[in-house]
Amino acid sequence: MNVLTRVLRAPDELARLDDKGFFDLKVQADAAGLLGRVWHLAQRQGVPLPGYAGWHFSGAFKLAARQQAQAIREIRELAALFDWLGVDWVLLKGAAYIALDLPVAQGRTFADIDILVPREQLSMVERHLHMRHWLRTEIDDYDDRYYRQWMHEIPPLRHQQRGTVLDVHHNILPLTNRDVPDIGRFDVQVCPHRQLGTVRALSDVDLCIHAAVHLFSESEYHNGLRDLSDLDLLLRHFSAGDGDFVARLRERAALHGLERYTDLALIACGDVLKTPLPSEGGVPRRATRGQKVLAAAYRRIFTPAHSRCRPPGHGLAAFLLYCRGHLIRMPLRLLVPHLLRKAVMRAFDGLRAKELSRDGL
Amino acid sequence: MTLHHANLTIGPFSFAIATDSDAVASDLARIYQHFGCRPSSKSARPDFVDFDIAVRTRSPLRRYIKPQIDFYLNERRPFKPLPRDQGYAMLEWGMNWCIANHAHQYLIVHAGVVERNGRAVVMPAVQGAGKSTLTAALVYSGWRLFSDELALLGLGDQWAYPVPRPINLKNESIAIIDAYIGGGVFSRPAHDTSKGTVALLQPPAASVEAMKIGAPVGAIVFPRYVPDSGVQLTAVERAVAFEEIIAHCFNYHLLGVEGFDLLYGIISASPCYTLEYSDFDLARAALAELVA
Repeated sequence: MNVLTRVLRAPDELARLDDKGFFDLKVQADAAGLLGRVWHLAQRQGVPLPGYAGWHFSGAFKLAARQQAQAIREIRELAALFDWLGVDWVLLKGAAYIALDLPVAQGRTFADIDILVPREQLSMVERHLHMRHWLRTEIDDYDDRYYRQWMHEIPPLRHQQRGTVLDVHHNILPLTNRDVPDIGRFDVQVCPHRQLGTVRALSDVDLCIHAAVHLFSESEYHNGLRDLSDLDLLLRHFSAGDGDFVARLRERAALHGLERYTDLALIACGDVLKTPLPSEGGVPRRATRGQKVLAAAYRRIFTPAHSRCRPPGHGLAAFLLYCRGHLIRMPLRLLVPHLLRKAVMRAFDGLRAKELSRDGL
Repeated sequence: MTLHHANLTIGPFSFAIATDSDAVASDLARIYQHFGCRPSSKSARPDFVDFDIAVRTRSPLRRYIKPQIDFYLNERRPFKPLPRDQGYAMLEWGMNWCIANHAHQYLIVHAGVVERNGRAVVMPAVQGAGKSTLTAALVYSGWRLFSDELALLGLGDQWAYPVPRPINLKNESIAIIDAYIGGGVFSRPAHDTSKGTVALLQPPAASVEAMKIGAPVGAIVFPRYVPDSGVQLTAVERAVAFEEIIAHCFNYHLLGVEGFDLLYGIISASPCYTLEYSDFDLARAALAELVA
């Protein structure tokens, strides 16, 4: 068991680490994008880290804090725009964790702001965002159409001056996924925020369901352990104030038709991070054979992305989950032509790049 | 092909370096002679190091045709590869990058720092202003080297801390300094880099010996090489100096209020000047007055 996972399970472990332990922890947390989170856990647990190692973690925490201050500025501008337009906007993922001031946001670095708007208002929202310097990133027409026709979001927008990336969603799963839920049935909470006025996010339960659906419908897991740790912290936080939280989560997921994602999430959280789950209504009592295979694959994937902690079977697990991710994203009759086209385009781009470099360009 | 390993402690930071390039290993041994650095295929990594880095040839296939070299930190490559004969320069840049991008327990300023009479002179400047050249001339004539690139300012005590790394000299500066100090130890030069020809100068033994000893900031000086100027030291208004120094910081915006308070404290307590110079001896005398 790698030391990072041990610390995520029980931050008390930090008090027992020697020099070698801290070195491994720093390397693994860096690879997993969790340096700032480890610092937060140490602070919360009241475990002082020795100075020689501590600054690696506190430095990452400072970087995350800075990013969050910037995110709040962006959210303030976006919220003002959407309120003025009368759009029912909802913050998703990292932006929601920050706006709701959840412990999971502490020390968490993130790449972009995710927002959900009603599909029928999408083109109006996009037009107004363009007017305020949120522009389309470099993307070819095929990809653009692919996003708009099949996906649950439009192609990412980048702020011309500040470089922030904004993902505008109209659902939480691709429209081609057979489990795509009725987004209108998701509950929204409106909360006060000292800098933002009021913020809108999914209700606690639906926010966790979204985190689970997002992670367990992926095909690539570059930040797998980080994302699982997000879920773990969310569940621990909400369960602490509400013993029935997990049961309500499962009930609600069933209502949305998304229980296969939440079941996998609960199994993986319990397996890898020992998230405390109630004995009644917690982890699905009897895992199916498919779930057992997937759970075994996920145990190998949710590890720090460093050669020294890659478990046997990691490559096979990654391949299996890659295929699964694509298969649940869309039916084969859409997937096969899409992947073929992607492969051909990539080969063509490679050839072109080689030609350019031969011409000395 | 052997893999050379070297462990280095430079000021507050420790590095474990691995390289498959014999040229990089021999430059390391020569330039870091005073650190007791002896690259070998056997030396083991200590239990804890701040930066576990490597400089390695790209792929066996590319070994013979246009060979390239990569810099790794924790198995990741933050930069594009460079031609193999720039390997040692790449290692030094990479080590600076490691410090500037991670050590947020300091405010880090792009500046040369030298010490005399227990007080540090911080010299922020843009690339090409002659900051490294002046630093090299000073530290080989009685001043102590803190750094030619990275001023580490402690957030707690507002002191400057040394990280006496090799001095990075470019183009004609290499011959000028070689002539001025007479018999310096240089790395083999890397030609055609993005900054022209680059060579690294060994830090003086006395500066290496005292590398754990910091000093309060005595003055802030913005240096600029101006041909035939002799020396010209001009006082700068504090508010102007404040703004100027922010432009040379690596992590000012990341530190927020902490960074502001630190700079405010330092600038309130230290005189600020611009220094135009063309003569090392005159410049040295002018700076010595500031910390007399």
